[in-house]
Amino acid sequence: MINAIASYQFMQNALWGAVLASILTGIIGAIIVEKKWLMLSSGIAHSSFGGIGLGYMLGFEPIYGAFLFTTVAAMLVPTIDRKSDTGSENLTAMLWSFGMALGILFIAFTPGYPPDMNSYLFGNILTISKANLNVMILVTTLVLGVLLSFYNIWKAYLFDGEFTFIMGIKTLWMDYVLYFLIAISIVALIKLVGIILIMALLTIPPSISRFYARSFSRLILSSMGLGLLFSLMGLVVSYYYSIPSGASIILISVLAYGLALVAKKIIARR
Amino acid sequence: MKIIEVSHVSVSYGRVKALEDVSFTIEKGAFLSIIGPNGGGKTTLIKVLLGLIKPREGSLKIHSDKPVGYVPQFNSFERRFPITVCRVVLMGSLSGKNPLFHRYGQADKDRAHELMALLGIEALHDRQISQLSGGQMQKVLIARALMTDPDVLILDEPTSSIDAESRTEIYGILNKLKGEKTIILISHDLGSVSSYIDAIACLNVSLEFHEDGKITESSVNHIYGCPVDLIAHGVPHRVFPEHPLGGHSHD
Ligand SMILES: Nc1ncnc2c1ncn2[C@@H]1O[C@H](COP(=O)(O)OP(=O)(O)O)[C@@H](O)[C@H]1O
Ligand SMILES: [Mg+2]
Repeated sequence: MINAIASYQFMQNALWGAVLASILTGIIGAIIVEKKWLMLSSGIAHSSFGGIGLGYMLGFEPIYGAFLFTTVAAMLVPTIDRKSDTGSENLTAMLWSFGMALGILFIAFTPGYPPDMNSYLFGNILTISKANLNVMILVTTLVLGVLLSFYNIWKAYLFDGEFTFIMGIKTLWMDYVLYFLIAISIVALIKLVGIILIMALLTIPPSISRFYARSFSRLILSSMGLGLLFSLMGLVVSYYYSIPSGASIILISVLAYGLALVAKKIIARR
Repeated sequence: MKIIEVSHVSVSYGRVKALEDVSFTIEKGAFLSIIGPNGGGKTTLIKVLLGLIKPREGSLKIHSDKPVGYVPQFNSFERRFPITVCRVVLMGSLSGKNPLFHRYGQADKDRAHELMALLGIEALHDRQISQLSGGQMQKVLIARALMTDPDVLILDEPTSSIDAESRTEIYGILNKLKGEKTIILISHDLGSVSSYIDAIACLNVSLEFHEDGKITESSVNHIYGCPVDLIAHGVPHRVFPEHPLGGHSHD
């Protein structure tokens, strides 16, 4: 495998993809888990299907369509939620299914053979391209830049948004910025683990890290580390056993969570 | 001098009326207690004061150039968030004017320590907030609210679901702050606060204000409907005729 990494571009891409993905999932995952925005994130992820379909139908890069759809979904949910009493969960569920329905519709209208959607639904780290990597670098830089430049305020906001508002900080903007960052991060990760499996990669590392992390920054750093570990292990398994990488990464993550849970119980009992 | 002026404020959530034509003013340095049944709109009124909810009708003014110090009700923040006591208290010094890559300065840290000492929670400095008792958590929230040295301090049921000892301690702290700060306290245990307060308001959608801090059994009955023991956590209902609550006069 070391030889493969040295000699094959796709293996190098996969490696870089794993590194970037773990930075992104570490940050975004920690936020999603602390804010309990699982439904919202999952809905945003699935709505990207519509954009991917649109890309295929009109003949442009499907990932750009995914950016469009997830961003619109991420902006619509809080906006409509403020103006109606439907509830954000219900709105999310609606956009989730609506995005997927549009995707199916667009693909049905796509001329010629239907495209293979599997790589978007389940992801494959071994097929990510230079262009995918560039997108990931861009998104990771943006997420890191936005979060680090106002880190204390973001932390206060995540802990207690009302109090942060009272301190004179424009938290309405923070909502939208955060939803936007979640949306673009999810799209940047789609090629790696896919729409369906993405939630596991976002939630499992922080769920394990919460067992021991004593500060939000350590929660993020630990989630990054675990994300990287799981991605690399998944990559190895995927390479040697020809298993789709999305599946191998998630299976390893869940297994690790189970072990961590048992370890925690044993430590607690002592 | 009036520090808070609320006039004709109404708020509804969809069809539910939470506040109806609420008006009152508070003198600078006064200690006001608001009582009322669950769902009576107490938290809503506070959120209006804090600017978290825009009233459908009416207006309000707070004459202070500092943010209001706010001690939220227990369920309003992430209790399991990985953060230490000291960091929570420090959050009280944040503002919209913080520069990029802001870090807490030594002055902020000194002030945080001073307040933790005042509240008797210095020893909890590095403790995770998920490991605090209810009373300890309340003191952390009070310290956080005091970080900016606010003119107005608002506490939403700070003593519900905490032990009697912490309750007494918290009332002691509020009594120390009395006069220096304008305090609004939402509380069910009238019995404990009645000797400190200057004014009392009963809120059940509409508000009945008792400027002199005196409250009669009949007005409590009026606000609560008949069962007075709704508020009688620790205040047996029969004490009303014998010791009128808030019955001290300040002349
Ligand atoms: N976010 C909300 N959405 C809808 N109704 C609400 C909301 N918050 C409070 N209410 C309703 O408004 C009324 C007043 O609530 P609240 O101000 O929390 O009362 P209190 O703090 O006195 O218990 C209640 O009937 C409650 O159900
Ligand atoms: Mg309340």
